[in-house]
Amino acid sequence: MIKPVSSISNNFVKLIKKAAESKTFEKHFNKCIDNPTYATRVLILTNVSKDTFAYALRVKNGLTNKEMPEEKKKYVVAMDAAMGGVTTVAQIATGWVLSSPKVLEKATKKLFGHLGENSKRFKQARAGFVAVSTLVFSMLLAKRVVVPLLAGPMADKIKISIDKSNPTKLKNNSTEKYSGMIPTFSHANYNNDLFKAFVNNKSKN
Amino acid sequence: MIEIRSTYNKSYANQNIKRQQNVTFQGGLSVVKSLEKNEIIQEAVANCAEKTVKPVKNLINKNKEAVTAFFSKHSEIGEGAGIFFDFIGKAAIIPIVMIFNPFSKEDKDSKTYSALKHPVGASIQAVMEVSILMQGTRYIDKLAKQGKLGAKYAVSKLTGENLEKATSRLNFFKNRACWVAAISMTPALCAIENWAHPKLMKIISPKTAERKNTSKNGGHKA
Repeated sequence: MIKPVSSISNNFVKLIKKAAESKTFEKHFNKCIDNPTYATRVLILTNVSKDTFAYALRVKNGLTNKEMPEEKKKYVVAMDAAMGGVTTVAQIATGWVLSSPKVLEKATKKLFGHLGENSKRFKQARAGFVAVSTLVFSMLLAKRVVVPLLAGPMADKIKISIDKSNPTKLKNNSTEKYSGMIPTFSHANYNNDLFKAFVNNKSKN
Repeated sequence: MIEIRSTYNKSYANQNIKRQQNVTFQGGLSVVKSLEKNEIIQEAVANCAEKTVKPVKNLINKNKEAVTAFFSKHSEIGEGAGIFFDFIGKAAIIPIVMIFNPFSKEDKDSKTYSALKHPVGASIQAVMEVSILMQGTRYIDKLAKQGKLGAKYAVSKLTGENLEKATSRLNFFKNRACWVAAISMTPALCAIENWAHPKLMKIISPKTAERKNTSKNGGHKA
């Protein structure tokens, strides 16, 4: 291997080793091994934090995107914001329920109680139940079906609030075509000569 | 005249008291309790349970062995299956649900435009993030097997309970490393998605990408 590349990889390995052997990680991993509920909940929080961060970035990027049509951009941004919020809540809620020892105990006792609680098959079936239910309920049903369903109407409302908070931009777009053709009416230009001339011409026609 | 008025007032006052006595609100829980005692509702609940919950229970009881075998077989869903389901969810399920969402009043053009952002994101994620993370986890596995991560992660040298602990410790370490890598990659992935989505929309559906909403209320159905 070329010298600089090998020194970089050596330093990288040293860094990973230092992190793996650090006291905070050791404590954290021991707690994860002793307490499966804690481990599952940490996993949920890491997933949620990643998703929330990604949706926040999407909203920020969407607002500054110049290639998207203005109307579409508003809905895309609103949808991303709504999806971010609902995903966070839905993932935490389903994850917390599925990882709850009480819920797990009830469900697994009913399903696999006939195997005996200390048998190896019971533990295997229980692990399978946790894995499949997390995949089906949390990853597919909650995150991919329920979240977009709930986020749709929320995005509608967010879009309306964006429209309300930024009405000038919309007005400018709609009056752009006619600017210069029709003088706009306001108390300030009521006595304006140009406005008077426009009104007189209209009345003559 | 005064007598008539006074008798009228008295009778009116009595009526009011009676009315008030009849209309007193007993509170939410008491209403629920009285409903629970209602025979018709009791019968309806029993019927509903018999028709929905009991068949499912019977089906599970009859096929207990099959249910157990199914869950035992899937006790460890691999990383590949997780990634596959995540991709299918993002690339296919979300866009379908978003476009045909009956609760959203937005026009179909905007819904489609927004929904197609997800398959674009999923493809970028599958190509870049997943491949990098998979290579990363393989690299950590290799380091652990070689004993370069320390004695507690040396999977190839340990046996019995220590091996079990080392394996789960290694899995947790890989998860955290992947999380750090994914978080640090997210800004780049989002930027690529933001750049690629409008461009791809112009190619896939130029009419949808360029058409402006003409409805008075900014794209919302009345």
